[in-house]
Amino acid sequence: MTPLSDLIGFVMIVSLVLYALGAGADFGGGVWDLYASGPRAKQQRQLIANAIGPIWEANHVWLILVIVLLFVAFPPAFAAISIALHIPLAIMLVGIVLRGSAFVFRSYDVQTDDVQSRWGGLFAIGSIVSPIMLGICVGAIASGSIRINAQTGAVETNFISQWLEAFPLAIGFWTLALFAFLAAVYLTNETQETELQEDFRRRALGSGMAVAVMALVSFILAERGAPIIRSGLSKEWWSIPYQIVTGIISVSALAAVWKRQYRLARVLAMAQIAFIIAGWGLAQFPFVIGPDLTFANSAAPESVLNALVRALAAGAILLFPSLWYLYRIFKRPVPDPK
Amino acid sequence: MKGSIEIPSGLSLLVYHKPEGEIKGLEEFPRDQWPPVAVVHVSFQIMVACGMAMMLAGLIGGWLALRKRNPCDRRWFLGLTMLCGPLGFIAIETGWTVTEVGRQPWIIYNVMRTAEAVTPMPHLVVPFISFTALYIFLAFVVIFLLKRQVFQSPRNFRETERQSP
Repeated sequence: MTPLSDLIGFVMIVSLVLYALGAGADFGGGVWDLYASGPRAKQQRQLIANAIGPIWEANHVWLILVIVLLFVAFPPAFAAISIALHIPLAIMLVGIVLRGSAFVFRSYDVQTDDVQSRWGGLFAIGSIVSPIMLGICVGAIASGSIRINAQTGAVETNFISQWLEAFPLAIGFWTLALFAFLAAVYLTNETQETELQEDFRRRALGSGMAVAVMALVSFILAERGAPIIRSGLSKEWWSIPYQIVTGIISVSALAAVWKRQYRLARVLAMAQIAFIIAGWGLAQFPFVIGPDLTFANSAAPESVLNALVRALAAGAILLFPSLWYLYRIFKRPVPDPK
Repeated sequence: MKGSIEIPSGLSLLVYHKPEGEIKGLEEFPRDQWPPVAVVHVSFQIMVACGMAMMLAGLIGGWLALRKRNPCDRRWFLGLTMLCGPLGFIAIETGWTVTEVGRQPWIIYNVMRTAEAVTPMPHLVVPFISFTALYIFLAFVVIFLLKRQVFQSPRNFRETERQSP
């Protein structure tokens, strides 16, 4: 039987995927808000605002779930991450707070253009900084540089060199590119106007190329920067087929955008992100923070895990219908008032 | 205490939900486990005072309504209601102060002290100041925007109404 700690680790990866698919696209929307340009800049911004609108707060549920699961189920890992990655996590948090508030301020503000554009700036900066920091944290965890002192159990860190390295930075920019790509693909589905679709099609193709480049850079840097992940991604029996499948999905997503099959492109882009995050999870399993903390050796006592799994099941019963209802209400096409 | 009204076992019921619960005084705890007493005491009194003031304003409104007088016709009552506006927030904040300062020095009661739980990250004053500044900034923005909403939107609203008959 699968140990409960592995099951909870699986749930964490699933919630990270859902976070990337939801909030990731919101961050990406902020990027395209910053780069809104051409004769339809205003319509582009309006489309982004309409698409993000009422959903963005709900998306952070998944990040909160990951963090809560980490500190309830794997307290030593939570302590190590929050100490060693204090700086990028704090910057990410400031970014999330700023972009959330700026977005709300802009949406509910009485319309005037100079103040509006200032909120827009804050919203865009937050949208760029937060995903980079999120990626840097993931990269640092994957790199194996966060070490735990075997005697004291305390994390050994100077608070900087664990994350300010080539590999985590590459993952940071890769994350940004992925989110921008995902948002552009979503946005082609959010409008019926051909010209706006074309605008975001071009953006999807550009950011899709950036995703491919950053994927390659990250893979090369992983050789020195993240040996555990690198060996997980190249030496296991499943690693080559898995990477081929991920690669095919990624190329097909770009091809679907190229051929203007936007619905298909959306499904493929979502699958691409899911495969990348799940691949990270698989490659570093059984480690939460390699090479010292595994899911098994950092898990909370069995009674805690038991109660947690029950709470998760009960929560899922409440959460999924509510989310379904939220999306049904707000993502339905608005009936024409005329 | 002079003129006090005694409720038998009232505090025991509040704390333990049963009348025979034993209430320990602060003096019975070792001195190094005391929270900052003055802060907790004053915060609690401010919280209760805010609650009482708001209750009183509600009672006055109810009394006016019972005498078939629309409370909203009276300027002084509207002024009173406006003064009550911030009281709810003050009560919430002082209430939080009571619980959070009141449980010091423990972060988990009898298990871990706050001083033991704090991150070894040096220069914690930097995030402290930045997050405080961030939220003060957001508070000013909210005030500024609310002002704009209140003073601008109704006028715009009326104008659009006039334009589209």
